[in-house]
Amino acid sequence: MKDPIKLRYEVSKEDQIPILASWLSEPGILRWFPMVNQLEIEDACKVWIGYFAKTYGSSFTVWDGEEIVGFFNFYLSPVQKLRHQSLFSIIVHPGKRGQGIGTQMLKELKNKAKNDFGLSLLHLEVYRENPARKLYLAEGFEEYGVHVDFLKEEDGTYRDKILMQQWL
Amino acid sequence: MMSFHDITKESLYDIRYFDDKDSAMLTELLMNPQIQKWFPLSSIMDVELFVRNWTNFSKYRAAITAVWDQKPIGFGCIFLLPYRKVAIHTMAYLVVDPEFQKKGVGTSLLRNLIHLSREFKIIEKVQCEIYSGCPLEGILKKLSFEKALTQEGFVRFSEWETSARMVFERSNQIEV
Repeated sequence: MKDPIKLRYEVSKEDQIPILASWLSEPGILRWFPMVNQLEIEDACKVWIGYFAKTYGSSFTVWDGEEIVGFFNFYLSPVQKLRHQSLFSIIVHPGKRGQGIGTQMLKELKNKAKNDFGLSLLHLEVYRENPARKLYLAEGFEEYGVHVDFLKEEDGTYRDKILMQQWL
Repeated sequence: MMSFHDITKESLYDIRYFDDKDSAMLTELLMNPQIQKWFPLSSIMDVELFVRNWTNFSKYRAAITAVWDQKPIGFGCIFLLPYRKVAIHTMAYLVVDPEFQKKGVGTSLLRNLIHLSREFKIIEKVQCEIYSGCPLEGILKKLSFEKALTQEGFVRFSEWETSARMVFERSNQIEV
């Protein structure tokens, strides 16, 4: 069996926003996200990295040597009654998919969630047909609901949002 | 058990747009422990954050106030989503002064929020998120909301006590 790539995890920095934005701007990627144009991508990246890294240190950049290969983020709530759980986002470098990086990142994400942020419940949202759903299932996430017709594409077609979670 | 007496047809009752001056009253209401059972709020910081969001949406005329004899007794707001693909949904929030509950105010606020959402042509569905046991569930069902999903353990009241969130929704194609 091949040794896993040694990844390094650091709190994201604002100057990495353009890298995340460029990945989200790759053709076809926005099928899996609620954003529709450059303006919305920039806004989402500012929230993902700008706000959560600065406010909670909960946005991470994943390095393989000198190269950034992924980002993930916990959308921590400022509200005490919701601090035991968090929604998260994760993205792997478009050219690095299918190499086990996503699986490794998910494992570390769960580790950080539990040990660094004291979370006991992690949840995510994924649009139907997103191939990452298989990865989440393999990593122990379970579907708890389907929000039918949640997203409306510009051509008028609707897509369902699948909601998954895992107790840590 | 509190008996039901509908005050919303009486002349002293009215609904108007939320005014910044209502923020203090909304804050006071959301600090009431009886109300906090149904919201994820437990401190003045939580409440102030929530009221700030509320006030921001009021700038888009997306928040309303129920008044009795000109005194605010209930509040409603729809939170607008920023991204176009999902802006077809809005999340409705409402809160009624415990002294004026079981008097038709909640139904009146929610009905008005549905009408308000229709003013935003892009909105196709209204959602409402409640916690297990919330008395609003009856009103939601009365106004044709259907449960879309349940997430166990979403809100934590103490180390040992959590509650599920339930998301209800209704299509704006259904008449109110």
